[in-house]
Amino acid sequence: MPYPVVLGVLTGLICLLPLIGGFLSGLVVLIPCLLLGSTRFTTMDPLVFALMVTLINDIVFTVAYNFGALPVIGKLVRLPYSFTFTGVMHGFAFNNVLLAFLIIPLFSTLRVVFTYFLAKIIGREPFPGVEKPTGPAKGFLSQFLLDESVEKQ
Amino acid sequence: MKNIKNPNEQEPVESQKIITFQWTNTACYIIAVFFIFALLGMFIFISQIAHDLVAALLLAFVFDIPIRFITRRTALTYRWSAVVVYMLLYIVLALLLFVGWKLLVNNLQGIVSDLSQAAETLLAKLQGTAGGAAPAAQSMRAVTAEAFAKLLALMVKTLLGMLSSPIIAYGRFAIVIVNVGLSVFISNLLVFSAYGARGRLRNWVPEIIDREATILITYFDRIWGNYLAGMAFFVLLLGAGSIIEF
Repeated sequence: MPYPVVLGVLTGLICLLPLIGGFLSGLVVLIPCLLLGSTRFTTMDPLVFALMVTLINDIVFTVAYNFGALPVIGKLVRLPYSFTFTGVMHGFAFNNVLLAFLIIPLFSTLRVVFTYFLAKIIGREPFPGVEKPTGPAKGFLSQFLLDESVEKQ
Repeated sequence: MKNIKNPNEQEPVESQKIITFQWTNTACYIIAVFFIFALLGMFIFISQIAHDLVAALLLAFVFDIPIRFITRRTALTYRWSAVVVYMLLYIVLALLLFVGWKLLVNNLQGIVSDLSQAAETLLAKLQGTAGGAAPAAQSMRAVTAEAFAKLLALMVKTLLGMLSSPIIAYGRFAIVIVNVGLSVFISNLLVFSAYGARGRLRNWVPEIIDREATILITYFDRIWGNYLAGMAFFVLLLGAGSIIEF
């Protein structure tokens, strides 16, 4: 395929767009393939080549995003797959790409906050069996509650 | 009888009493309402730059991960690790701005000229096919194909027309790099400010809710850190996969 590095970087960046990233990256790949044809299979019809590459690209990216990345990221943020999938769709319902990109961690944060509030309202322990984290801060926010004596100065 | 003072006995120092003036409940309610309105006003005020601030905050979250990694694995302090990470970023951005653009513009120019030529060739070929005495069905096919080719040519020109001139291409590229640089710089300030303010929230959190607040904030850290790291890994994986595939 012509210009593999430029198109690869473009495709990788477009993949940041949730849900439609795979489809859009397919479009980016379609036009150069259709007009320039294959650099290796020179006898192949450009239309066939373009359709083949776009189809493979769309399938790979859509499957990788929806059935690979979303479940893994859902596990990382402790959110069920159904929530991550519908969450991204909700983000797009507002025509806001930034919201669609950030909806998964926002949902997860809201889940933690609502669970905490609910436990407080019904008078239960919000974090049963969870010890208070000690030691140096593990992230950006927890450093504000960090015990300074344990952090390397 | 003479009153003799014991030399070890010190005179009690008169302690300075700090008297705090307490507001009445009504005053507290009124000020709380004003405070909420002030917060809303502040949000409206900063909404114009909300995108930049959100981007900077996300970048601060992302770069906090390698900074902590370097701090754990080396003898460097957090502050010096942050300096190393951000200096590397600034060097990469500067290289992109002053050196990388030539490569990028050359590549984009190559794509634009190749695509334009290919589109024109296709159009000419299809126009040639359409000419002559052809049956009705063949004419219809030729007209459809010609329209398709014209549409394709228009798409190429619309999509890539902005890159037709190297100066315009460089201008657009420079704007992107400068915007990214601004967000990186604000995130740099955020990281340093956060380090300076570490442990400060502890003074504001009552002892009784200390455990719950610490657990909550650790959860938030885990959620946002894991999400951003996961997305970065996914994008790198697919980008590298695409280059190999192409």
